[in-house]
Formats: sequence, structure tokens, C-alpha cells
Amino acid sequence: MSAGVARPVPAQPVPAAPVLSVENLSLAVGPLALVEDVSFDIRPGEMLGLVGESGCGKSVTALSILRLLPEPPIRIASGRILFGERDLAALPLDRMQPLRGREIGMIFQEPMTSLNPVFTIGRQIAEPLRLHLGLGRSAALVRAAELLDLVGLPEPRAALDRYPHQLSGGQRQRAMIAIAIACEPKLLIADEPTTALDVTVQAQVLELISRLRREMGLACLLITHDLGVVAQICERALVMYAGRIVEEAPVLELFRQPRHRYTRALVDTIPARNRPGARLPAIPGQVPAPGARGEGCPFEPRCAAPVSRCGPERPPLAGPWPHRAACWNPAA
Amino acid sequence: MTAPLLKVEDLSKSYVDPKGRRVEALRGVSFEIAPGEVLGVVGESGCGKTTLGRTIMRLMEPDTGRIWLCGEDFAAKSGAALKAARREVQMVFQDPFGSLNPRHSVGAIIAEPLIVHGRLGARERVAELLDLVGLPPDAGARYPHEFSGGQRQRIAIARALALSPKLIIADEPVSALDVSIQSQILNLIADLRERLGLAMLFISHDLSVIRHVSDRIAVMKDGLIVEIGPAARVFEAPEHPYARSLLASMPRLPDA
Repeated sequence: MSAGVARPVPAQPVPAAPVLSVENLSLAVGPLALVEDVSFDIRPGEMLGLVGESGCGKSVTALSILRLLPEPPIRIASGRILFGERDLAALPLDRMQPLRGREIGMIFQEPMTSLNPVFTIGRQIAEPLRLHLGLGRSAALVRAAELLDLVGLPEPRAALDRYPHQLSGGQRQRAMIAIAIACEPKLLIADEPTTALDVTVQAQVLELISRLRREMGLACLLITHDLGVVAQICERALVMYAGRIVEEAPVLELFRQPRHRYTRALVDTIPARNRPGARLPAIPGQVPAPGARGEGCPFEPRCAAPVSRCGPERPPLAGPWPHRAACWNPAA
Repeated sequence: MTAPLLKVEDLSKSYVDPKGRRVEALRGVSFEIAPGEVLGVVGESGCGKTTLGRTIMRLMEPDTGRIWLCGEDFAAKSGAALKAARREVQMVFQDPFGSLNPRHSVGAIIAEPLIVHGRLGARERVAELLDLVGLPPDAGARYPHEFSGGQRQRIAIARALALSPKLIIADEPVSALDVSIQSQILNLIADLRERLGLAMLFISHDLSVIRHVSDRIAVMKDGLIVEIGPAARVFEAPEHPYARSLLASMPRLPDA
């Protein structure tokens, strides 16, 4: 997307206050740190990508914002999750329920397991409308049909009476999105929303999320392992590795001038950025497990250009916003 | 032109799904693979690409059509002749967690095809194969759960190579792997092609992976090959409308 530098919201004298501010968040299981010292903001109308490989901590970070982690065994060890005036990290769990689905919408990877198989699509979209907005049964169904129309499901009125198994994967994900945006939340958290979908359907669903974000001014946190998806619809992205944010940058810069050696290696190893058939610049070794991340930079054992302080000393996320990286020997 | 290693003629396969509906997974598919060539098969879920691989392996029997392997009618073989011909074609699956028996040591898993086919010197051959796929010599005594996804895929590849096949059918071999591990396995596959002169039928939904590994590409839709040709030609100038829309939906990356 060549318009990646353009801001979705017209420039204002003072930048809008963030919808969500995560400050120095750490998550742990017993003595093991899963996520350490994660900080980021999302502003109204912004699409922020959170990208990383399996086990890097991106999904637990997203679930912690919704307080959907199993607590215990996982606990918020430190940090704040500021959503408006409230610190979600300190909120009693029963106070989260009115927020989820009302002010924070969510979409998960597998629409088949996230939708309830025994209720119609109409009933599942109507549920948050009745629960959070107090709409009556018929008013909720009318609104549900409008929402299905908005997300581009054909014959929305007929779709109300269908069950999840009667829809295709792409239609189910559209229905999930309709549920997520039903109460016009301020923040949408989408965890691998297109990973289970075919590539032509993925393109349509990404376009839908982009459109809703523009039209509703929705702030969106998009979690994905796929740099292609980030390139397609995000303006800014965070790269996580071994439980930490290692780089934060506008998406175009992330691809053109990645600073962290991990981001550099990740971008370079994508087949589409190499000559067909050529040897790929592979990243040796594998992601360290929690508890085996070492004292210094967790990427040091796999890094192409480590320096002496990488092993013993952990690099901080440094550099002028919006492009920051946690690397002692940056690639750019 | 050299004689094809694999020639598939008018292959059809239909079955009844759990809901009682008839699914025409393959509707008359024909193509050839030359020795040492990689044919990439790309398509979306339900297009028939997995059925194609399984039917050629004769894990499923085709309804109609012929399969010629090394000039012989593979689809007509049975018993000892089928077993002998199967040495020439082996398979690698997507899921490195589901395709290895968790109760067998890695050495036993890799040796199994050698034992089934009565080959001598299995122990030496296992050591050779471990080295070939980049696993440490002591890996043979360990069990699948001790290995990561990428290493398990190396084990599955070593097993597929045990009988020195001429053709490997790989069904989404890197789709379950993280990007950094995926490129390690793609490099391994390229090395093995070069060293062993392997031909491959490489099945994937991932367009950029298919472009990277294939000499020729077949685009499948609804049980048919809608377009087949040299990889660069299919990617740069697809002719079939479906191939065009499939390629257009590929996420575009910013230039370097």
C-alpha cells in the first residue's frame, strides 16, 4: 500500500489522545516471564500491527488487554493497560464484562470455534445489542441485519436465520466482524483474523476491516504472523520477539529500513523479496522458550551481526518516535 | 525432450462427504513432470490439490484416469509390483506433529521404509539421511516430541528420502512453520534437489512459496487445472481469469 504514510485522521493541532496505552506490561507464569516491558499506544482510527512468530507473546499480549488470559496461572506481573480513564490491568474481572464487546470488540482466528454452533447468526449478533445497548428483540434483529449488510454478507435478512455451519469460512468471519462492531466499540482487537482463510477471501476481509476502521474511526490492533498482511493494511507496526517489542516503526520504514537485526532478517527471508529459486537468507536456530531467553538480547544467538555487549546487556527500545528499535548494532 | 517421470492423464476422483453430498474433487486432470523438475500446484481450499497428491500416491484410488510413473502404468499395479513402484515416489505432509509416530524413535521412523522394503544396512543409511537433512547424529535415538516443528519436518523429509525416490509429493510442507523456519526448510529442499536430482509435486496455497520453489506452476480450481505453464510466465502473465484474480489477491510487499 503506497499510501502508508498518510494518516487516517486529518491532521489536528494536537494529536488525539490514545484510545489505548499499554505501559511497561509484563506477563508471567510463576517465575517465568512470558511478556516483558511492553509499551505502545493506539490512537483513534489507527491500524496498528503486532507481528511476530509463534511463541513471541503477541497473542497473550492481546488477550491480556481483554483480560481473557487464564489468571491464574498467568498473571499481570507489572505495568498498566490504560483504556480511557481506566487501568484494565487493575480492574476486577467482573468489571471487564461490560467493556468486552461494548467498548472493545474482538475477532479471533477461527470463526468456526468462536461462533456458537447452536444459535443462529442473528441471535449471536443481537446478543451484545440486547445485553449492552438494551435493545428489544425485534429492534436488535433489525440492527443485526443492517450490520450483516455493512460487513457485506449477501441477503442479510435471510442470513439472520442461518447457523454458523451453513456459512463459508469467509462469511463466518464477516459475521464475527459484525458481532465485534455491533456496539460501535472504540477499539477492535483482531488476532490472526485472516489466517484460516483462503487468499482471495483474506483480501476481501482485510479490505472490510480497513473500510470499517475508516468509516467508524475505529482504533484497531491487528495481531499477525504475516508481514504481508501488515504491509497491506497497517500504518504502523510493532515487531515482537521472545516476549519483547524489538522494533516499532511506520510500516514502509519497517520494510525499507528495518533497524533491529531480527526485523532485517525476517524481511530479507521472505520468498517474495528474493529471486525465485535463490537460496533464502535463512535465520539459523529457533526462537528461545520463555526461561531460556538469556540476559542480553534474546536474538543474539541467531543474529548475523552481534557485538560484544549483545550477550550480557539487554538493549532498550531506543530512537526517536515513531521509529524505535532495541538493538545494540542496528542494521540502519 | 526427455521422457516424463510422471504422467497423469484425465484423472478423476469423486467421493461422498459426511453430509451425503457428492464432491467432484478431480475432474479430468492431466499433466507431466520431467525428471528433476518441480511442479508447483496452487489453489484455494477445496480445489482438489490434496486429493491430487493422494491419488497419485494411491492413498486413494482414482475413479478414472491413468498414472504413468517412469513409463509404467502405476495406476494398474497391485501387490508386489505396486510395492516395488512405490519406492520411486514418497510423500511429505503438512503437519510435522501428526505425521510422525510419537512412540517410535526418530531412527526407527526413518528406518521403517528401509525395513518394509527389505533393505540392508538401515543403521548406516539412517546416519547418512540425518546428516543429509541437517540433523545431529544423536537425533536417531531421540523421540519426535523432543524436536521443534522445523526439525520434525526434517525428520519427515529424511524418511521420504530413505528409499532414494525419484519423485517427492510434498503437500503444504512449510505451511505450518514460522517464517524464519520456513526459509530453512525451503533451502533444504533446494539443496536436496540439487544434490539428488529430485523431482517434486509441491502442493501449497501459498503463492510466494510456490513461485519460489517451482519450475512450472499448475493453478487448480474446482477439480480442474485451469492454467499450467513455466513459473515466471504464470506469475507475470496469467491467462485464466481465476489465475489472474488469485494472483491479484496476493499481499503486495513494499519495495526494498
